[in-house]
Amino acid sequence: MLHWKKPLLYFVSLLVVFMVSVTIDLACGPEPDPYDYNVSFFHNNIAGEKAYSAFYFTNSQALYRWDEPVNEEEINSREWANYLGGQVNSAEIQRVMYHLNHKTDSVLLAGYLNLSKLAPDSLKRNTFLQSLKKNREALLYYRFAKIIEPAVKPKDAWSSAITDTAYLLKTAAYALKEVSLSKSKFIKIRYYYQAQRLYHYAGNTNQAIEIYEKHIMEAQPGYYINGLTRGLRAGEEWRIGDHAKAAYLFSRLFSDFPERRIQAYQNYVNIKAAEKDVLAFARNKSETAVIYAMNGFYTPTLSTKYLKRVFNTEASSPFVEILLTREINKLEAAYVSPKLTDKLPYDNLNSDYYGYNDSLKKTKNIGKYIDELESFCTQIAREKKVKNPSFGLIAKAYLEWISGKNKAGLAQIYQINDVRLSNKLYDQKQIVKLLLLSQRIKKLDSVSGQELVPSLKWLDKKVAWELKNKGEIVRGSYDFADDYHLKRFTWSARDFYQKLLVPIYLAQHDSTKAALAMLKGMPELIGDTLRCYHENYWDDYTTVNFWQNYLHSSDLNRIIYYKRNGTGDKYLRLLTSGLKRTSFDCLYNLLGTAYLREHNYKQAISALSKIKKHSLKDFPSNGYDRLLLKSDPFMAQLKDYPKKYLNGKSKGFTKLRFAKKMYQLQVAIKKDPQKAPQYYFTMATGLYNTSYYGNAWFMIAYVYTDTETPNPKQLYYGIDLTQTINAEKLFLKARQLSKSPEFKAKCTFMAAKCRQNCYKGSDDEFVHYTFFQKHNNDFRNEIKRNDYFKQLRKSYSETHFYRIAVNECSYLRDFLAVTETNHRNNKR
Amino acid sequence: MKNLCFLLFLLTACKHERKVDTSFYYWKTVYQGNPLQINNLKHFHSSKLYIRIMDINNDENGNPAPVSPIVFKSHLPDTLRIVPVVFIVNDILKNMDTTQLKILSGHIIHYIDSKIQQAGKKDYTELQIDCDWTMTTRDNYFFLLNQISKTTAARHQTLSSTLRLHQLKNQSSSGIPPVGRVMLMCYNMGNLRKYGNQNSILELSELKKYLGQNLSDYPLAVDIGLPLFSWAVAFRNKQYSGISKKLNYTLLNDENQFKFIGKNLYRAIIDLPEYGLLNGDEIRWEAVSENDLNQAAAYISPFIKTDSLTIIYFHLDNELINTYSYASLEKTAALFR
Repeated sequence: MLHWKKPLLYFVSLLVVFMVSVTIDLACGPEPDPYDYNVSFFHNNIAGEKAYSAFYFTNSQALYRWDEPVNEEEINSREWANYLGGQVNSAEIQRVMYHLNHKTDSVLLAGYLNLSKLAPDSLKRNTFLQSLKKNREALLYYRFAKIIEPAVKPKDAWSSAITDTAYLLKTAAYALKEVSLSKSKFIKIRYYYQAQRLYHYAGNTNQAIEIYEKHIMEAQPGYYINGLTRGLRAGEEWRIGDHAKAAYLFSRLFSDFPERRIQAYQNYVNIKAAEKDVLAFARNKSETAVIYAMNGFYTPTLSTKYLKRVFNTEASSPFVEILLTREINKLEAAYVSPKLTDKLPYDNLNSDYYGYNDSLKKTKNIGKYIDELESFCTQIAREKKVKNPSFGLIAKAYLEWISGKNKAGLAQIYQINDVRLSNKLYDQKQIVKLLLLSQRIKKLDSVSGQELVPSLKWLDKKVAWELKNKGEIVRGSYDFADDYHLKRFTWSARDFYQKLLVPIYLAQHDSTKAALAMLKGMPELIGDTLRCYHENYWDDYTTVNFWQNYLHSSDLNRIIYYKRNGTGDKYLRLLTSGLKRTSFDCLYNLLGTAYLREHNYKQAISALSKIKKHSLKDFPSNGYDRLLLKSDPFMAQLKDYPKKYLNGKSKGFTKLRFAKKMYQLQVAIKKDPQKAPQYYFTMATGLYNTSYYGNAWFMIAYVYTDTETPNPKQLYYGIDLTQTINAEKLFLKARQLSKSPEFKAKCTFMAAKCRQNCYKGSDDEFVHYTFFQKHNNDFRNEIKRNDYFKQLRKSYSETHFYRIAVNECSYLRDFLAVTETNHRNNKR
Repeated sequence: MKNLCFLLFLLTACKHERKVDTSFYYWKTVYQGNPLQINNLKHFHSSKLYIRIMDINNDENGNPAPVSPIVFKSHLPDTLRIVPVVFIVNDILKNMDTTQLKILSGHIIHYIDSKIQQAGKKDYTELQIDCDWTMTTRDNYFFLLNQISKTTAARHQTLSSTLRLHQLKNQSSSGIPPVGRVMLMCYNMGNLRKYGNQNSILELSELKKYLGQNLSDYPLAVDIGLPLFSWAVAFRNKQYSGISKKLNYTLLNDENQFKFIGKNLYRAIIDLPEYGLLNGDEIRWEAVSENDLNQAAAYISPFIKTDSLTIIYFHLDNELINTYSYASLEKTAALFR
């Protein structure tokens, strides 16, 4: 068994060096996109716009987005610009106040703001700084705010420095002193704010409250300071123990100051005050509705509780539509997504790969919940108390699509044909209409497809617009994080084509159209990718994988026909439009590969010869140092590992050269029967090497994997790629025709190797041995029963080859050891 | 000959007494020394106090960060050493890689060093990490401990870890933490949420399910943590509804509000919103008596193989300490000698 380990160790080393990126990519899977992890046809932004986008439903993070809907820097800068008047530019204020680097900021504070030096060159023309020089009290205030900034700004989480309370109290007193020296209300109120803030952070809560109530509350402090001080005041109420009042004050902050909305919501949630106690403070229906809405935003399960409460309290509240959208989005996560993606007849990665929706999926009585939502939608549409009664009808139509009631759904949609809708509602109506129209089609063909054409054309335009504008940008949540691009129409189009149309075509046994729909669903896929050996292609995985693994030559010939000749059929023209992004070279590569898989070498030569432009992409790279993997597929090896690749400078076999050689062998067998055994053996070797166990797997596969061995039943060429069944047959044919015992021994041994790849546990053997240092039990048992080893021992044990094989192959030795033991036991 | 026999008798009768220290956990977020507490510690000749420095949990961005760190409003007495304790929420360890764990270990050491100074101390001789690690987080937790121990070992400090009963019992899956010693938490052993009249804080029959040979065979030096706390566990329709923090034993015995229904169970006879209770809610009063502590000590002691150990009571609180007599706690400590 020792010799078993050696090849495996070689193999492990080889993989580490050569296949590292492929292996890691396959093992780790894609990075989850928190904005695109389940099917959503009901766009979450149709209600509420940016003002409440943080509270759209998501299961992937605590909030949908983390940026406040309004930028407080802009508000503050504008107020300062108004105060300073004249030519002062608010953008220049914003730059100086918030966006100078630390060094410049320090230089400015120690020099220019201290009236001791000129402004740095880069800021000499800054209108804000120029105006400060003319307004002494504004300059002094600004300098004061800058000086105290380090003491009041949030600390690094891991800094354990204690608050310098004495400093805070001293500066608070200073701020109060400066109030009396200031003439302008704008500056006075800011000193009061600073005093409240400094007492607040010093823990002198009562003094902070006193400042607010005596000097700020009734003083009409201006919008920006009003928001800041009310936020502090709410926190102070929390500190002194009146949780319900604090929660109420935060709910007011939430509704009145969009630049503090997320902050207010997080505080509200963290206070955990009893709802009834908070409601007791609400002075009117609007305030009550806000409290209900905030509680609704904090409800992760399917529930109409707060939706109905908001509606019953204040039907015209914008929160009705936002909360209803949230519930429908939850329903998509709990029901629509799993329904459409759990049993797809192809490999799919555009779904809830990380299980964000697992808890929602466990919801019971979903049907009843859909009915409840439908009734609610009917009510809001009928009573017309909400802002957009049509919203209710569109939502109801969508729910009817979910429950398969196409006729009723379309009736809702047709009801609002003449109603003037907002752009977003109109778009949503179009999506729902497309879904309903497609769902009622019983057989999807050129005739029935025509009905979808207007809607699909509309969708095409939306996708094109979105791609051109790169979608809605959400900034990454930390400094170096990538931005997210929210492409709701593109995602919906992808899911429509790939998760609705493709399964229909596959059920109709039309894999050509399924492939076209797949491609159509990925408008950003660069066509050439379809023929690439892939290392990192997660975004396009579903489509690329389908095209590379599921299509036969007959499909690809039809596809090439469509690309070459086009079609007069409007629906088909739409469906085939994705082909514009592919090249004929790409399609012939796929076609040639399909022929290789089908062993139709003559046609493979014809297809592969049509490729005009060859590139480095004709070979896979080892993924580590980008060396191309090339090989001689006709090199027979007793041991599979280490795989014998040729170094980068050697020519190696292209697919075309491989096809030509295999075709020559096919012809030669007929022409020269005397040498047929050798020809069969060479063909068998070629075929074996195109399996995952050989050195030319890239003749028929586009990706290598050792951990995710595909189920041979899923791939039409799996019998060659993973099971080596045809190679086995050819080795046997060679043996049958030969008279040489040495040659026959070799053929038998090679057939034994092929047979092992069909054994139970062969898919798991490598991983099992690597990680558990032992054979998969099933596999070990099967080795003992290898018929070809029996034949080798019985008929060819006197050959020279047999001795070599015993020396080289630990499987054979294992077999011999077991049979020897059994023999001895039987004797006893 | 007679004399020789007597000498032999004396030698064989002389049992080597184990050195037992008594100490406490300080689990509040503000430290402000007060004479009563200091007096308590003096009385038990406690030379050290185990002070929770912080919890570590993920912040809103998913990064580990200190939660509720302690604030020292006064210095610790010179006579008292500090043993900083850091509680790590187990979940945060699940998806951390080695780089993140190395960074975290650096943060922890740096943070503690800074807090120690705020406590008026220059250094510490032991650092304790508290984590309810499980099989899935074991490797990451042990990696973190190894990282921390690189610093503590260089400073000749002891690194200790808490050990929960399930970790003691399931040694093969829980593993043995790479530390100098462990503190076995002999409390919180029953199912708090299960309706009934059991005591989830300390119950000898439960303790016996975990200890015995598991303890005597444990390959590390073991200190013992014992509970000095009580709580009121509320049930509504026989379903756990929470711990009512404002309730105490005196309030439960107010017959205008509660009816005693046997052993440690009470029923609210009116709505009591100030305690979060409705008429009919049942409350299980769980406390640890002096007798419970002594029984536990008598049971545990024979399984301890080391010559010295520390009994650490959870936790230092004037009101709680007053519930127990010095004599009784002394007796508990004596049972370990």
